[in-house]
Amino acid sequence: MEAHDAQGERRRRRVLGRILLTLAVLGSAAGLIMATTYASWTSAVNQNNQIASGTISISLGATGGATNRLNISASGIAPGDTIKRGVDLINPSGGLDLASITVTTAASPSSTLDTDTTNGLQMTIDKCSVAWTETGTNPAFSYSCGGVTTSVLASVPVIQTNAALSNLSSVTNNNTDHLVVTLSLGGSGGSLQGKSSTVTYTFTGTQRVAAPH
Amino acid sequence: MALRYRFRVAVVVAVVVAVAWAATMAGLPGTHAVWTGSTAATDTVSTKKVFSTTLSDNFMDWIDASSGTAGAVQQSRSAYLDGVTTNTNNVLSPTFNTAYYEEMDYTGQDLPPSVAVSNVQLTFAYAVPVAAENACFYLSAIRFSDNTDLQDHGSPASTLGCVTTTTPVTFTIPLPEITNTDTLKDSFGIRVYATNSASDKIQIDTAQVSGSLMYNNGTQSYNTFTMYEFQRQSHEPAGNATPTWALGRIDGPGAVGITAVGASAFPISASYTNTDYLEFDQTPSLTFVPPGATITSSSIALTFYETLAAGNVLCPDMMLYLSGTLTATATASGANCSSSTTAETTWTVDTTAIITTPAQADNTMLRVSAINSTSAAQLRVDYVKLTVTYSLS
Repeated sequence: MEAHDAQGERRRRRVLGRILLTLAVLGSAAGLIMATTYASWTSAVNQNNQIASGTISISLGATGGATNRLNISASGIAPGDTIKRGVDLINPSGGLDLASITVTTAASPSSTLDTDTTNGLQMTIDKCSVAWTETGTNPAFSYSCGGVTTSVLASVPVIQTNAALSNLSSVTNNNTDHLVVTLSLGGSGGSLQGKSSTVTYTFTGTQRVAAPH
Repeated sequence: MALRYRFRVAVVVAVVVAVAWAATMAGLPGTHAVWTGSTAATDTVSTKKVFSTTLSDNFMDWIDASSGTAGAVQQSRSAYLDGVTTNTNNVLSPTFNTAYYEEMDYTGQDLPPSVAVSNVQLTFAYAVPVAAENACFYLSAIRFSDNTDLQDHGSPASTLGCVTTTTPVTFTIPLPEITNTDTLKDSFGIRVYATNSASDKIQIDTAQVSGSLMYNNGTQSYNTFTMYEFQRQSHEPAGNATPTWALGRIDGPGAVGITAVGASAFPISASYTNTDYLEFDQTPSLTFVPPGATITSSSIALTFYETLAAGNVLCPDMMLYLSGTLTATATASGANCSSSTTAETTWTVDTTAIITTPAQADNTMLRVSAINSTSAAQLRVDYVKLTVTYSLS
């Protein structure tokens, strides 16, 4: 009877030991994963090589210049009018490649121009394979494309949250997209007259899928 | 035993490490922080204060110069704050009763649609016929087309004011519930509930509704406006009536009082005597087309008829004055002449090339002469309106 008890006790200790060992190994593995995550993206130096994190530094062209007219306001808009603003979207050399670029817009102050999603301002974004040719007098700009025009964002209400932009070259670093943002007012309702909205356009790049380096 | 144990441990460690490596390489959600970068720009988009819109202003004041001598300006006695009053039709009750009221109806036709308004107020001035009588009032803003009560102001227990003098006293009552021209253009009315302690009438000097037209999300004013009643619906203990001003709306043919008619008949003639006329004026200080507006078209319409039985043809002649200067004339012919005492003729003259600025649109005056074919006849004018299409940046 005592021999049986001693044997059972050893078996229980062995099983318990295996469980503890497994947990310890799993914990170490989890730690390894986390360490890997951070080691990939944090500037670090070791003995043999240097691992530097990449940076996402998409930017717009020079504010107010032909490569960024987005800050130029428009007034006296009537139904049927369009507002066109050229802007370059730049992913510089040395920047990270991106999985996607989105645009988010917000209005403050807000009005029916942006809250009326049917009759209010509608937004489209187009890209030219070469720099747009800009004509017209500020702020009534017009644009023509000497290359190939592609749609980056089909017509949507002006207020968007993380609207995906298509056909962009700037998802790859060292590339610039030549864009024209067009706002149009289609509705003729009197509720749109005498209104004003200040719209902020935020372009956001999201890192590419992790890859071994 | 120890060898088998070490082997098992080695297998477990190998599997776990392999899984961890695979997960890292696959970039499984939750295992990586996702970095983003943003850049932004801001601009402001503002619409026109007034989109292209077509509005009409009807001329409310007139002068009879059909004899060749101009008479006094004839104005609705309840239109302007000028001490010229009009009595209620009948005496009023000494106590309030919701069945008894004086309802002033407005059209707001010279207001653009869907424009924010502010500081809307009623200017109401009245007196009692006999000193020491005590007349009090409160009111409701209404939509008279369906009797919707928009807002009450005061009550029988808390009146807006009382008057005991024969000189009109002016009360200004804010109407903050009115925030958009659409409300003013949709059968807007003011229903005044009034009493007179002596069971007498009251004398109304004015019942104007005024305010400011706003833009930039309703934060800035680009113009002011004043509306005058085009009719009053009197509901009094002795009965109901609807006094109207001759030029307030198209409501003829009919009895004298709802049209403007000169005392003298116009002659049988082949040519006009331009010193014999009826003159039609806009309300004073009118700015129904705001300064800075771009006018794209305009016209003047005269709705009238003649006072003889069939057989006679009365043809009017327009003399258009801008800012007091005779600027253009036009002579009616054919269908623009009247040969009926029972049907009205509306003669519209295009003034697009003549009225091109807001100052001209707001300072237009019309004199109308006439000739007849078979017999001298009077000219009855029911309505004169200037219609302008404009926009305002």
